[in-house]
Amino acid sequence: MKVQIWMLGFALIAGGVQAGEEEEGKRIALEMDRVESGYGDYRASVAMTLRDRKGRESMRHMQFLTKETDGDGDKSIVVFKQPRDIKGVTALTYSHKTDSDDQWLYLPKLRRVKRISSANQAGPFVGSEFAYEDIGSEEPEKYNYRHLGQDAHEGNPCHLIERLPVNPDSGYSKQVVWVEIERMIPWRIDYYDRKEELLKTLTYSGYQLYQQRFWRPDRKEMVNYQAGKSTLVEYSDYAFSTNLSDQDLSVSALKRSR
Amino acid sequence: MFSHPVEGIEWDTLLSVSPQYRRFLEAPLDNNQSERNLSLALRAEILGGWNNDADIVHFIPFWRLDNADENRTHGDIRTASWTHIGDGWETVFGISKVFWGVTESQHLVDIVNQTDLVENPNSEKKLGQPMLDLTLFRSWGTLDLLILGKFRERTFPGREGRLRPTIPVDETLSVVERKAANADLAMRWSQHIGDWDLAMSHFSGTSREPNLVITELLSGGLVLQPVYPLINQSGLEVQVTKGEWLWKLETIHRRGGGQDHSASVFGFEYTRFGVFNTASDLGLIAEYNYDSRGKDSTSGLGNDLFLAVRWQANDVDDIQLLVGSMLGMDSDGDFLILEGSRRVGDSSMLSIDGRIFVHPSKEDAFFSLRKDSFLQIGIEFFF
Repeated sequence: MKVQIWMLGFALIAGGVQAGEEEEGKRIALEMDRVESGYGDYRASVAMTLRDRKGRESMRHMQFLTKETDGDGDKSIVVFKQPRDIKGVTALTYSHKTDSDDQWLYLPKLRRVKRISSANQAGPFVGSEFAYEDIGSEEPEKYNYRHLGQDAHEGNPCHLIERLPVNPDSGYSKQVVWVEIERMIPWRIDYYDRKEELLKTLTYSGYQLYQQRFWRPDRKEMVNYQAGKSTLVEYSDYAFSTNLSDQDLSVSALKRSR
Repeated sequence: MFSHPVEGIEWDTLLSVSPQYRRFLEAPLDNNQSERNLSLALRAEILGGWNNDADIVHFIPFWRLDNADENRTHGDIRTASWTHIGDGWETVFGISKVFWGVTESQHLVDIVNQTDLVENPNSEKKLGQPMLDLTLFRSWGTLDLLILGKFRERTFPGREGRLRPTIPVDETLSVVERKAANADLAMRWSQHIGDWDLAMSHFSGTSREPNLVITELLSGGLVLQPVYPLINQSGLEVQVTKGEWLWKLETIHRRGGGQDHSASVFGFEYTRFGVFNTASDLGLIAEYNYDSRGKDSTSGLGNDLFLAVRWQANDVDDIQLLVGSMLGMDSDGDFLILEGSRRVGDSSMLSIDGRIFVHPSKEDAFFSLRKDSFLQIGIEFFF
């Protein structure tokens, strides 16, 4: 009996500790989101270098436009520039905090806008090592969190948080994120596949300050350990608060975005 | 691809050269017809924007040279337009292209542009249409109001060309009924509400689809005379997107042109993502095509079921393959379609296409194409 009471007490303490870890994890995620948002809208040019197992490279160029909305996920447009066979292909996403995203694709040769399924969260984005869910809008509601402790990333003291995707279409069992304590910006994410094996690592580098407020990386590199492939993403020509209207991020605007 | 600002205008250009080889699998019905087509297409796209892209000029000339079919050697201004973007409205003035619709096997609602049929029997290629298109953005949806100018006649394969009616079409005899103002009017309302994408449209003017009337020439030969009647056509488009399922419907009602009729196409597209433990997707498309005229349907799709499998590798080369069949429910006649493509290097795209006509009977609209099964390979080089 005594042993059982002792065990019950231990379980209560353990449960309490776990609840504390969850709260702290969630707090860090919300703080990251707060620091990251408030820009209104931004544009950026993106160059992706896809590297295969043998080191062969191929390039993707695209333009990103993103607009924040009140109380819901972001609206965003990706316009492809290269390879030239997909030049002008444009994707529009209305992301939602918990519901699945709304997504349209514009095919310039047919001048056709197609509503497409957004269930393909785990699928690769333009043949890269980034899945659609890795490039989508980061919403704190998309995960459950746990604070794992602290660690350093290249000398920067970081919080280590674990996040578990809520969406059943996610390709991951969990992610571990290194969040710099001082600026609340991510430095590294480890992705674990559905079998809970380490699949990929994303590292951020070359953070720059924009509008005296927003830290954005110049580069992100995703390394896929299981496939032996990697993708480097380089950002340039960042522009914040460019007064994008809802009309600029509408289904009709797909036909004229570039 | 270049992008550079000149005197405040930022230009974008894309050029492509595409050789294409089409091989027919059987000897033609008419000895004058070719066994194969070898052709070359040139396309340029020039886009310039100023005022922060609130004003855009867009120019797309297209030209094809074909060794076998003189009608297939043709050029067209696909686009030559000026777009202006206002607050809550947009206008497009000039030659342009507008696509309406949601389904895959047939585009019933799509009526603004004429079909460039010599390009491909799948009717996906369109001729440039002079227009003024005003788009209004409102909380209740998007409204497009179009005034369509000069009427474009459908292109048909010539006497030496394949994939044509047994009796050749004589375009010099065509009859085009026009409204007094020499313009067609069209409007479309579209809106998306959650998982639903809806659109309703109406067109009043000259039909893009001609009636082909058998006519005896003074010389005694028979030809088909294209007659483009005045029509009124209303259209409805619905797509419901639920996870891996896309549910689609297009329906039209057309008055005029001899026989009032309704036609519909509806079905689904279901995609399994990440099949066989790879990154590839496998999709199944099933669409039923109905026409109230039944076997007299001018589209040939009076009571036909379209089934197709689409495979997408999602790899670096973007390999895609679609194999489908249009199954006639009223007759034995079916046809199979094949479409595949992949990127080669950084700036070219290889594609294969095919159409196989399987034991068509005399009742089938494509009976005259029974010897015209073909396979085609093309490569598009981009600059």
